[in-house]
Amino acid sequence: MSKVEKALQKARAMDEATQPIPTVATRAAQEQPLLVSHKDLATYTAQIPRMSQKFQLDRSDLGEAKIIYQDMEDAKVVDAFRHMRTHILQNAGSSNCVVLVTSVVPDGGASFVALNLSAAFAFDESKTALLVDCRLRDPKQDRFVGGEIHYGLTDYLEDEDVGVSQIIHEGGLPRFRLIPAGRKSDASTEHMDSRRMRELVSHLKERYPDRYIILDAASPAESADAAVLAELADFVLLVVPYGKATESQIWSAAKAIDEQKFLGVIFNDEPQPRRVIWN
Amino acid sequence: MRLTFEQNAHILGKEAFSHRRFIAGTFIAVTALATIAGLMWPKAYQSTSMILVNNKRMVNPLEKGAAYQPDVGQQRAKIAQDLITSREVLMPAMATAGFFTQKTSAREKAGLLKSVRSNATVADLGTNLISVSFKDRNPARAYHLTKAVVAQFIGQDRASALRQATEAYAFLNQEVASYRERIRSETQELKKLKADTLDANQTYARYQRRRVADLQAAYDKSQIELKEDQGRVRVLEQELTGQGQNNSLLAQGGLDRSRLIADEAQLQKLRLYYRDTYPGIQALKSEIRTLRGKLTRLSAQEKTLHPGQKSLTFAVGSGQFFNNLEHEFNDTQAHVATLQAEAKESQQLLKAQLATLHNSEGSSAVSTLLRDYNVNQQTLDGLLRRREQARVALNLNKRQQALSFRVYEPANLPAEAISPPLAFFVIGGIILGLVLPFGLLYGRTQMDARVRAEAIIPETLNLPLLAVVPHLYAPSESLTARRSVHWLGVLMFCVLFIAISIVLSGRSI
Repeated sequence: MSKVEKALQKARAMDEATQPIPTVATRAAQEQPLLVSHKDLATYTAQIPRMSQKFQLDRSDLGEAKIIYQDMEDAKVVDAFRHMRTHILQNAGSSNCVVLVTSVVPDGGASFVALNLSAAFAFDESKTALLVDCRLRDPKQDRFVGGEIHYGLTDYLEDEDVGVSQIIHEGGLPRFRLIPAGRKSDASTEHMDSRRMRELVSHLKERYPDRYIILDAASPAESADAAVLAELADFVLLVVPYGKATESQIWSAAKAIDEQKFLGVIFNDEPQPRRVIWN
Repeated sequence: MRLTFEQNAHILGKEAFSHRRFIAGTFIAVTALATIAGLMWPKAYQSTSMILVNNKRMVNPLEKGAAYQPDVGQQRAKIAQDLITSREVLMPAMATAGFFTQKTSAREKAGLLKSVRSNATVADLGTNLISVSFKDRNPARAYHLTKAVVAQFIGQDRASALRQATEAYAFLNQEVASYRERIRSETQELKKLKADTLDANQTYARYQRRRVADLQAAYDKSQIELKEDQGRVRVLEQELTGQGQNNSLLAQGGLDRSRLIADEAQLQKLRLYYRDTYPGIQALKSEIRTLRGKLTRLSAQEKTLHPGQKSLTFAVGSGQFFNNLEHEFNDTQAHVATLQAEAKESQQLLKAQLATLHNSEGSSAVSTLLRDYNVNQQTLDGLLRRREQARVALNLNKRQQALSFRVYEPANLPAEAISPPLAFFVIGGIILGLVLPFGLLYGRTQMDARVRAEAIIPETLNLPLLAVVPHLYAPSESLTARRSVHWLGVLMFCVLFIAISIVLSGRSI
């Protein structure tokens, strides 16, 4: 069990001890959409610091979990995600957006990019980030939730009784929330293409105007999830791992994405021998 | 897109880091193997002998008659190389050097011969020097083999030269004998032909010339006698036609005078060929004296009878005289006709003899024979010169003065091995240990189509490159990686240190 998981278990135990198990009524109340307008954005922005944060990963936990944080030693990585975030914000304008992150090849590092892009959004105290793990066949982000029993995206999509608030979990970072994949499901593409998924994404985007939703999707080489989710997203980022994808694979993946939504390529996981040898 | 040198170098560095275990493992393995190979490499000893090609010597002009010409320049080295590695030279030399025992089979001998050939080095050092070297694990055997091969090679060359010189001399000697016999035969034939053929005999020529002179004298005599008889015919005709008694003395005087003239002419002719003691000449002289005395007496008698008449007259009878006169006239006429025929025949014989004399010296058979004789004589002279040269060359070869190869530097007993030094293996192993993995990695990056340079995305694929995210090392991962780098470095250094220490200590197995 990793340090991250231990920290998460500890936080969850404390949470369970202080709060009652949510009932159906409370779930309904939590699901009530907050009909807010952009005029009230300043009001909600002011409420962001008061977001519940029952547990928080310290720097060593973040380091082990390969999650960026401010004042990190490896500034190049942090700067890369900051640059990414800035570029997205420039394209999104004043509104929030849904960003789909997928990889050209399986295990291309899309989950890593999606997680740290979320973390980069969360650096900004006026914004929150919500990472949605859409890899229903092979969940990647569950490790940050901790515990044995928790609801995830699959639960929400398959069970009408499961509310949105039940699947949104803390991620151990300030202003960062996470919807894990939940139970594994082979009907991943069908779920992604479902009405309930579209409603969820729309709800997540519209509920808080300062919340930026990051969708972590499987590679187009693995399934059609990315193609379906690209319709729901505002922008698509294509992750190209160092030394794992050919030019033709990159070209094919990029051409499959709507040009209007295709924001660019993230060249990921470039080795840093100097940092290891000299630091 | 063609990557720049700097981009390739960066990629190679990243790949080397990613495959650091492969790099270190290859380096350690190659260096260790090379060091072990250097320690266990079999030592070889090489013995060298140098042969001088004698193609410019004082005795060279004396060897012109030799069939075996040593002055063949640079080809000698190539010939020597072929000969030295030939079976004829190597096998006896190997036997001398102790390569074979009584139990060595033919197959083993063939294998040994192949091995020796592969260890032989025959090099042309340029200025008439040939280097012959043999390698062997046993220094003594290398020395003995080199020595034996050189001796065998020079011995065979010497024997070959002597044999060829002997053959050349024998051939020329045989030719000389043949030509001598031919000339002897031609001489005899010529002599016989000269003896048998009159044309060829000088005595005959003199005979011919004498015969021509005789024929000429006979012709002249015939002419004189003819004129004399013709004069007598005219006188006798005058006498018969009426002037008989008055002219009898004149007629007798004319006859005597004609005879005197003829005798004098005959005397002069005979004196050309005979002495005065010759009986014919003596007889003619006596007759001439008698005729002159008679003419003197007739002249005195005529002056008494006819003081004004110049010619002599003779006292003659009346009837008998005419008969005698007529008879003499007829005889004289017949004699004139005979003399005319003789003169004509003598003239024809003279002409024929002169023609024969002119042609006697141009006999075609003799000419052909003489020409062949002269040609053969010249050929024999040339052969004799060449045989003499061949004899000199043969003597030179017998005295070993005409050798084309000499041992310039005898074979030496090698003291040090010629195997590559241990340092060569170690340094080679270190270099190969570094070059091989890096080369393989570089080849892999060049062959592998997967993208390792971010510049390809915007420049080749024309796609927007939003960010380049370096690998984020977790603290534990970073520590592990750093430790692995350090340990691998230490391991490589240890192998390097051990290899260099072995080289410096000069250890060998």
